[in-house]
Amino acid sequence: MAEKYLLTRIETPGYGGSLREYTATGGYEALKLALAKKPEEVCGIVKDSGLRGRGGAGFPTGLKWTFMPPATDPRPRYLAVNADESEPGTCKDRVLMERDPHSVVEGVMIAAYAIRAKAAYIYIRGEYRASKAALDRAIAEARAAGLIGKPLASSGLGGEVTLQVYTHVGAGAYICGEETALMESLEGKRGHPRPKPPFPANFGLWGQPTTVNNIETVTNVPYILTRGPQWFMTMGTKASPGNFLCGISGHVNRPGVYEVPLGIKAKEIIDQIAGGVWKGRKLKALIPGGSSSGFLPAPIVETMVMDHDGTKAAGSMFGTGAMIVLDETTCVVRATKVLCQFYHHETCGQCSQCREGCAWLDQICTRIENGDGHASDVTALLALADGMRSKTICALSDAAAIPVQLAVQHFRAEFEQHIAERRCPFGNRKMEIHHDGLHDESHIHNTQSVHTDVLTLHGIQHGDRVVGAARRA
Amino acid sequence: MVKVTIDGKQVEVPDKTTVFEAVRGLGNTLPHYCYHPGIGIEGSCRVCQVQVEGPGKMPKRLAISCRTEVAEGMTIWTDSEPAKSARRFVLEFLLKNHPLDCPICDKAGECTLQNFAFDSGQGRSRSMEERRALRKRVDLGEVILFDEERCILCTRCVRFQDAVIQDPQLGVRNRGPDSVVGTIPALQGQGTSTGDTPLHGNYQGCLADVCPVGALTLKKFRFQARAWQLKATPSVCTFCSRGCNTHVETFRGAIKRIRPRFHEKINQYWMCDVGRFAYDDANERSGRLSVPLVRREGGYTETSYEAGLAEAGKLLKSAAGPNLLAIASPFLTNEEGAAFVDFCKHLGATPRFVAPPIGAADEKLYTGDPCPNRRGLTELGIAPATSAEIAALAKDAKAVFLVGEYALDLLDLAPAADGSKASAFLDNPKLPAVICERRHVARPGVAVGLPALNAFEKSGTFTQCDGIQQKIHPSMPVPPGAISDRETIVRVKEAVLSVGHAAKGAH
Repeated sequence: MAEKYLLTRIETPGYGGSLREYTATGGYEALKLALAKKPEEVCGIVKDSGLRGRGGAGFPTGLKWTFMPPATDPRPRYLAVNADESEPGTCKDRVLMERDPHSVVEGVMIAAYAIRAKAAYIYIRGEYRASKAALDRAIAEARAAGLIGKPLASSGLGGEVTLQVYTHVGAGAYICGEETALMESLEGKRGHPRPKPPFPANFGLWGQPTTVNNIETVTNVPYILTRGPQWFMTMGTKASPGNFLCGISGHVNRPGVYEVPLGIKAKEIIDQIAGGVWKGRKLKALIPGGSSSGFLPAPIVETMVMDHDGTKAAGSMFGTGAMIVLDETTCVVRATKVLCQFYHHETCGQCSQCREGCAWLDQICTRIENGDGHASDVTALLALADGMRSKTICALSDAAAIPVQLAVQHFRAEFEQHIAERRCPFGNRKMEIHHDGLHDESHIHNTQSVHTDVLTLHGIQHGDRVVGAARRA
Repeated sequence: MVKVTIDGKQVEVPDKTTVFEAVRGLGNTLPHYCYHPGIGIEGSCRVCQVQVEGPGKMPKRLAISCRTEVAEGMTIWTDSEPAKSARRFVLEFLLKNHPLDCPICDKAGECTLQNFAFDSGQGRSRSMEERRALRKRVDLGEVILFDEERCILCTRCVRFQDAVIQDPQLGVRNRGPDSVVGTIPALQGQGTSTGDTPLHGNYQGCLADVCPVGALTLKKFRFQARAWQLKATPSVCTFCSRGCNTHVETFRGAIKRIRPRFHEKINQYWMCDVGRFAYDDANERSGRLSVPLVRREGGYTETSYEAGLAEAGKLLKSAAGPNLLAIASPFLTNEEGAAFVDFCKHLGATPRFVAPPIGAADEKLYTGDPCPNRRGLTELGIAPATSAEIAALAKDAKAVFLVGEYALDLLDLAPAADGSKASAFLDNPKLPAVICERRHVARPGVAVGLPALNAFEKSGTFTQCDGIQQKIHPSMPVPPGAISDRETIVRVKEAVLSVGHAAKGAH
C-alpha cells in the first residue's frame, strides 16, 4: 500500500482532531516553516511540487497563486476556500474538515500567507453542519492559541503576519461551488457565476484580488512544506503528483473515502480497496469523478488510470475523484435521467442554453425512461448537449451535457431499446410525476431501491458510511 | 485605434470597442438580448456569439461579442458555421418555452426574438415538450403589464432599474428554468389587481422599450396597433424643457405611442413617462378650431381668415402701444417667437411669454419646467412673465393678444392665493382679446379666436434647457384650413399695419 499522509491522523485510533493532538503529531510545523520564508518562496515550493487543484479542474495550485498581483499592489487580497463540495458523489472534504480540522486550518493559513491574504473565508456547504462545527471549533482553538487574529510572532511562530480565518455557510445551491458564484454568494448576493475575465486573481471578492482553492488542495500544502516537493512528487504521476481522496460510492461492497495515489488504476480502487462490485455482480459503468464526469462503460474502466490524463484519455475527466459505481442491473437511462434532474434543479438560470437545456434534457430522458420516447430523441439529446457545451458563463452547462453525451455515446442501444419497447427494459415502474412535474423524489426517500441507491446524489446522505469507512480503512 | 479583420474586411476601430460594436459599425447588428448599450454588458443570453482568433496566439474560439474587446490583429468571423450554429442553438433554447403568441403580441413586428429567429434561427423546434405555463397578465401598476411566459430572462429591465434609474424595483425570483422576473412581493393591501407590488417612478415606460420581447408591454399601447402599421416621425418632446428626442408613432392619423430616440447629450435612450403619455390631448380632435371665430351679437360666427384677421387687426391697432398686452405661449417655436417679437416691435408692445415657476424635477430627465422653449424664447428677447405679473399688467391693458397652445392652461396652472384665476381678465368685456388657441375660448372678453396648432402638427425649432436647438417635425395632420402659428402672427401683424392703409385707400 502506498504511503498516506492526508488521512494518517484520521486513521489513527483515538485521534480526535483537537489542537493538542494536532500539534503533538507535528501540526503547525509547516506554518512555522512557511512563515520563515517569503510568500514567493512558499509559492515556489508548491509550484515545484506539481500539486494540482482537487476541486475538479485540476489547475496547478502554485501557478494559480502566482496569478495574484505583485506585493506592490496596495489592494487587500483574499483567500476563499471552497468547501461547498456539492458535486454529486463527492464527500472527501468533509472527512478532512470533520476529522482533522486543524490540518485544514493550517493549510488555509499557509495558502493565505503565500498569496499575502490577511483573511481567508471558508465557504462551507449548507448541509455540512458537522464540518462547520468542527472547523469553527478548530478556528476558535487556533485563535485562543494566538495563531489566528494576532501577529503570529506572539504565538512563537515568528513573522509579523496577522491572519483571519472565517467560515461561511452556503444555502445549499450546487452553483455556489463554482468559484465566481461562491464569491457572489459570500458577498451576500445571488449565487450567479461571473463572466470571466476579469479573473478572481484580479477581481474577486468585493472586487479585490482573490484566490479560490479547494479544501483538499490546501490540506496538501502543509505536508508539501514539511516533507518537501521532492517527496510529494514520489507519489502519483509526473503530471499529477500526490495522493487524492477518492470517495467511492454506489454498487461496491465497501463504499467510503480512501486516500490513494493519483495514477492508480480505477479497477484497483473498485476491486481491492472498495471490495469489488456488490452482490457478486459485474461492473456496468463508472462515473469517475463526480456526476459531471459522466458514464464510462466497463471495458474502458478496465484499463483506466485515475488521474487527470487517464480520465481525459478515457473521454471523461478527473473532476473531484468521486467514483460512482453502477452494477449490471442498473438502467443507464434512468441514471442519466436522475443526473439530468439534478442539473435541472441546480442550473442558476443565467445563460439561455443552460437554463432551458438542463430542463429539456431532463424532460427527454424522463420521457424515454417512462416509455414515451420518440425515435428522434436520441439524436436530439446529442444535438442539445452539443449546443450546451463550452458556450456559457460557467461550466455547469457542460457538466449537465457531458453525462448525457457519454451515456448516449456508450449506451446508445439502451436508449434505443427503451424507445423501441416503449418501456424501461430494467422493469422500472413509471415515475410518479409530482405536482410540479419536475421532481422524482423516489430516489431521495427510497434508499432501499437498487436503482436509487446508485445515485444517492448528495454526499451528505450517506455521510455515516463515509466516516465509518474512513474509520475502518 | 486597433486593426481587426471582420469577415475578411480590415477595419480600424477605437481601443476598448467591443466586438459587437465593431461589427455593428459595419452595419451588421448581431442578435443580442441581455446587452443594451444604455444599460450595460451582462453576458448571459449568449446569443451574440462570434468566432474570434487572436490577439497573439489566442486560438480560434467562440466568444460573446458583447463582452469581448477588440485587440490588435484580432480576426472575427460572424458568419462562420460554428458561430451561426451557436447562435441558432441559443435561439432554439430561448424559443423552447416561448409561447409564440406573436399573432396577439403587441411586440410582434419589432420583437428582436422574432427578428433574429427569422434571420438566423431554424424554422422548426426539436421540442416535443409542453411549454411552460406562467402568468400571462401580471399587473405591475399603471404603466406596465407583464407576461411571464414571453420573458426570456435577459434581465434588461432589472438592470435598467438598478443601473440607469438607480431605484431597484425588479428582480428575478426562483432559480434556473423556474426563474421569473417580478417586483418584490406585495405588502398586504398594496398590491395591484394581480397582487403584485406596483412599479413606481417616472420611467416605467422605458421598461417596455428595453424589453426585447413582448413581456413588458405598455398598458396604454395594448392592442392599439401592430408595430408595422405605425408611422414613426422623428421629433422632440415638448412636455418639459429637456427636449428628449422622440419617435412619434401614428396610425390612421392618431398618435399611438411615443418612444425615445437616441441623443447622446440629451436623453441617451430614455424619456420620462410625462412626455411619453402626453398625447391624448393631441389625439382629441373634437372642438378644434380650423377657421377664425369672431364675436357677433349673440355669440361667435365662423369667418374666413381674411375677415377674421381684419377684425383682429382693427381691434389691436386701436390698442397699439405699451398698453397692448402681447402674451406668447412657451410652446412657440423659435421661428414663431421671432415672428412674435417682430409683431410686438411693430405694435410697440413688450413681448412676454407665460412662464409658470419651474416645478420639481425628477432624478433623471424631467426638468419640472412646463415651458419647452423657455430658453429659446428668452434668448429671442421675449420676457418670461408669471401668471401674477400678467394678471397685474392686464389691469392697465387696452387689448390682449394671446398666441399659442397651452398659453391659457399655463396661465391658470397655479391659481392665486385668493383662488382667482390669472386669466380672469378675459372675462372683462371691456378688454377685447384676440386669442390664437387650438380650441375656441368662449369668454366675454374674447373678440376673435384664431386657430393654433399643437406641437405634433408643427415644424420648427426648440431650444432645450442646455441650449441645444432641435427641430421638431409634424407627425399629425393640420386641421383642414388652419394655418401655422407663425403665419397667423405674421398675418395679424400685416392686418394691423394695413388697417390705416386700407382705410386710406377706401377714402
